Amino acid sequence: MMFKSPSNMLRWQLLLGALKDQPFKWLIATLAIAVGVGLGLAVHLIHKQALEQFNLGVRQFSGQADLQFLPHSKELPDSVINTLSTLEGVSLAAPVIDMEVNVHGLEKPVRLLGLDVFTSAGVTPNLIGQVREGDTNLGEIPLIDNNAIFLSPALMETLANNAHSSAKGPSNLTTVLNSIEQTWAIAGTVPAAGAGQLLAVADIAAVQWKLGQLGVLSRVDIKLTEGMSAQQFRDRHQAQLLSLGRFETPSEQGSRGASVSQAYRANLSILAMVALLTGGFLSFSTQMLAVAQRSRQWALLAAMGMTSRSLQKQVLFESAMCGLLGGMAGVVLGHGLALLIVQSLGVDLGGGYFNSGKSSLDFHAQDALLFLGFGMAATVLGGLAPAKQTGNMALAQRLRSGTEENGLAFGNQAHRVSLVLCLIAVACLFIPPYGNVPVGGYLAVAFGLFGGIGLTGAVVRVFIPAPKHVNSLLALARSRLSSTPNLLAVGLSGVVASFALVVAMHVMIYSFRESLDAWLTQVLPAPMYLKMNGDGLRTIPKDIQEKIAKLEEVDKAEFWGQQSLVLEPSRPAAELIARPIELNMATQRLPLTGEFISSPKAGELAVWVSEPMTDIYGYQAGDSISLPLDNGVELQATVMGVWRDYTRQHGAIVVDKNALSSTLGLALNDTQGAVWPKPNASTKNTFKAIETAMAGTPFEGAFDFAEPSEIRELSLGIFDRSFAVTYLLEVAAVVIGLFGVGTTFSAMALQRKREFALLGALGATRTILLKLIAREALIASAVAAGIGLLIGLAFAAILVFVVNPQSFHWTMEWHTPWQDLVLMVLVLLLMSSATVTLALKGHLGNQVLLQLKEDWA
Amino acid sequence: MKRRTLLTSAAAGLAFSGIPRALAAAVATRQYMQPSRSNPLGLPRDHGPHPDFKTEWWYFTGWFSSKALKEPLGLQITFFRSAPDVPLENPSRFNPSQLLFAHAAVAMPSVGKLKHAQIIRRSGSGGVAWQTSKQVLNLQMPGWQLSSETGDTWHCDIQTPQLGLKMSMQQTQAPWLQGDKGFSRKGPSPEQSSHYITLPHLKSSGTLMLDGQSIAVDGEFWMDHEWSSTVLADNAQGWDWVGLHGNRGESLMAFQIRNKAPTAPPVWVHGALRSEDQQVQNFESVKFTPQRQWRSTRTGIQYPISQTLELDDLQLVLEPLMDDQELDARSSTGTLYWEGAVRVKTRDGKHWGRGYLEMTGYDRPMKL
Repeated sequence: MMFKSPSNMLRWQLLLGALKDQPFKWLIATLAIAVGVGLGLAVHLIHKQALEQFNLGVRQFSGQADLQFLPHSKELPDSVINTLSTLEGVSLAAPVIDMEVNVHGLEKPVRLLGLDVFTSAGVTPNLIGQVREGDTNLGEIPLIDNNAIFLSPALMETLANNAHSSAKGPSNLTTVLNSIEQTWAIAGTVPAAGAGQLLAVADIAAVQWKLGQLGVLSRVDIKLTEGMSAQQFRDRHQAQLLSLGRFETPSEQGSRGASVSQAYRANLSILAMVALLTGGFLSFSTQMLAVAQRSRQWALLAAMGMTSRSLQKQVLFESAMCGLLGGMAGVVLGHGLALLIVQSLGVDLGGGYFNSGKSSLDFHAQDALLFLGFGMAATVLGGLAPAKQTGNMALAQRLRSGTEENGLAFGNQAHRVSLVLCLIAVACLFIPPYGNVPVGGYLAVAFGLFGGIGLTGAVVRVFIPAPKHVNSLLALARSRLSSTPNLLAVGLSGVVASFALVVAMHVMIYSFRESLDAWLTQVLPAPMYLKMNGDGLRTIPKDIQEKIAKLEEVDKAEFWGQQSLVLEPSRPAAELIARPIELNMATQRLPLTGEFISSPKAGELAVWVSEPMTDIYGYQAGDSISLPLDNGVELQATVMGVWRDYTRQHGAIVVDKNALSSTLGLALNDTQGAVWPKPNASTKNTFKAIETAMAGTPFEGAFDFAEPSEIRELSLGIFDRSFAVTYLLEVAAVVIGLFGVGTTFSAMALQRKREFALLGALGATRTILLKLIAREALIASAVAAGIGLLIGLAFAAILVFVVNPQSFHWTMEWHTPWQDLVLMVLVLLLMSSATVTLALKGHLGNQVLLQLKEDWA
Repeated sequence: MKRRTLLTSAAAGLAFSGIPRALAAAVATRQYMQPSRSNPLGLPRDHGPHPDFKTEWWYFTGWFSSKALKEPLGLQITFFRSAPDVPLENPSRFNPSQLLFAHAAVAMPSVGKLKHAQIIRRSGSGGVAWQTSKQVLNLQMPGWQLSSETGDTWHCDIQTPQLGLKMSMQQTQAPWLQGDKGFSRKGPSPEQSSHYITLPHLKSSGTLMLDGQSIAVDGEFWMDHEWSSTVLADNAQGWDWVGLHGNRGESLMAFQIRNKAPTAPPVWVHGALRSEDQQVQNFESVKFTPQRQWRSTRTGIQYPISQTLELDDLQLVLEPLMDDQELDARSSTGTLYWEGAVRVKTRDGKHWGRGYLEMTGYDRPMKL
């Protein structure tokens, strides 16, 4: 690089000098910034990508529709098309069947659309099939032929790779649905399908007839006449059709997509924020400690005519450089992390919300700059106080030495400000969440961190009083520390922050894992569970259920199904679960939290709702609710109680299957079952008996069975995987913390060269000096650990009781991992003493002599 | 492209009056009724739909004037019914066993090209139906309706973003059963035929909505109702057809089905003149001769927009109301053709009458 101006030259030389003095501290601060920026950016990028992909999907499948008419749950009666087509304000109403089917030779299910080409051509022209040229066996009009199917390029390619097809590609495709096979003639392609998307399109009448969808639709795409707004239209017609479904604009569905992954972001963003703040504190402590150390440097510069202002600028410049470097590393890290996650888990972080195609990651320069800016802001903020301090020092002060503590005299009042900050943090906890974003939780963590760290000086003053007699090394160490509480506070701030981060995350994850474990035990009471592994099998029919229940080995068998239910258009669908559950059994079968009632109101069905239903829709035990089901059916129910559910984030409602069928004549498709074998039968034998009984039916080999322990293991495995990123960060934070302690003490020790020289002159050996410093380090890191632990526990409480319930809508029990915490504190104490000793070992001997020369020569 | 393929075949037989069109690859499994001499037509019943036949249309063309306009304008409205070859046992409400489609085009010299609207729907759902219990005809699609109580009066109501119209048509002459009592041959083999009723000189009036402006119009419609199940001859390239109103109440219908080989004589020709007192003269010789060519700048297709028509000893010259009356109906009926209002003069330049000329198969053979 070329610097024409000498002041620029000087600026870089000074920075290099500062780096040389404390390379490790700067490195650690930079790393912390990199982690904060990287994590924040990764979370942001993944979310952005998810949103884009979701919106792309919505746009692709809604085309130019102004509105869509959607069922409350699963399906619309197809007669609704007659009403919708002739409603005032409708220019076009296109009926759509949107379903998943299995295809012979493919593992993944395929999205199949049944369209009316004549109306869909005006709404979603890109989903209309393109007839294969030159094929004369496709019927009179392939687009409305009841055998013809059109495939996306990706599906065509997959089939071609699988099958031994002719040079022209495969000519047939066989769908399998509920064990019924249906062969279709491939009539062409759907060229506009997204990359990697497995999509098939056929005529709506053919899909209704051949795939058992007679009389139903998935949705109706609507184009309005000119001058009619979606809102106007909805105001006019929604009430009339409310019993069947609801009108939604494509963009409303987009916002629902955004809320799907919102909860993931809450936890990860808070981590990123704490990492950034840690970086800021580290940069603060590095600079602050260097203020005095560099006082003579500053004095010289001032004597040469540099103004206070330029000196302040220099300090800020150095901080900004740390933020810039860390930020740049963070941008690289963030993109790498995001790419890794997107490719291994998908943009929904493995949530399975988007079944379309491959995921990629785009580079967004603006976002990169924004997060780089966050990194620099953190370090520049950290540099503000040191810069002010540097500018304020009088020339005479600068020329003197040993004034570190004096320079920090303002710290004596810091605890007042800190207490206010802590109070603000507590107050923040009462701020309600903004949507699913726990704003209050975030603010409380930010204020709490500043407040807590600001109290370090006060804690040192209270807990490390100056000993009356300095008669031991320990007493000397205490005396030394107690005389410089503010210096210590500054030095420890980075360590405290990173240790608090580790403690908070660890306690939260531990609590969550323990709660999940307990919950799993509670919700898996049966000795064995059945699930279809199935090729196109989507329902366990009644006769098969009875067959299993009547087996000699089986004591009891229960089957259940679930169906999504949109209760509020702006929210993702909740799940209605219909399972056998008697009134008096609910307390045993469901992990109920809080109060519950024992009998429903007259004429109402009993339902039990999961925690999110309480948070999102305000359902409480004893409430009467009305759930809109398909085809104008309303389920009038009493909320009996609230249960904890860690699997369905958007809410679930349990209703007794038999009551549902006897009062409303409604049966959901059963997809899962639980089996209680007779006392003399083992689970293994019972499963064998079931398999034998299924021989000859379409359900031969269709069931997978699992014991609760397997499901539990699997679930916890998934949990651990999804928190792997956080575990990784914990390790990073521990390393950062340890380095922080080591380097802080080394730096502080090196500043005390003259003190050591004096002690040396008084007869203290190198070993004694080392021991003294090690004891100081031990005491100081104990203080850091103590404060960090307290702040960390407070943060954990915020995460457990505020952030998670507000973003995920579920609660967890508090579990303290005492063993781990004790271990962490011990490691911190030992490692800090060890690193300090190691870092200083080589230096001390020569330094002492040199220092004496320097001072007295 | 995709839509053309769909709709050209879907609209089996459309888009022009008088000539049913071919379906190439269809291996028909559906049984259609065939036109037959031995089925005498009964009116007004036969003004209504004949769902057992493969294709059917109700076609209105005519010249109109308005106080709001200096020049006359041409108006063409056609409603089609088509019965694709799909299994009838499919109980789905959406089974496309009957399709309805329609288009309308306005020719105004001040605009210089056709204003056009079109629709295609499967019948039986989504507000698409025909009712015959009370009325002889009531064809309905969202925004489109053609109805008649008894066949004497007809009503057409079209509301689309491109154009709207509300027209009433009144019978002034007895229906003209074309060919042999309504059985009309279209080719050398006997199944190449249709049932064909013309209502000429329908006294018509109503309002036209163009670009948000409503204009009252008056004039005369020529109406054709035709149904069949048959195909064009293999060597047919396309056709030229006219339906003309004479000044003295005459009606003249003539067509030629051109041969794929440009120099070969037409595959089939027909021409007949009915006087005001309903005397019908069938012509021995029918000859279309191009007088002036016009090339569309949109499609590059060249059409002989002015032709002489020699019918035995009657010689007429056809001159278009305006050159550009090319109709791009590829997204409803699947066809691209010229269909326009023409002035008719005798060879010595005297005004004989007015009507519509339709020319298809100038882009490619109409055989699909």
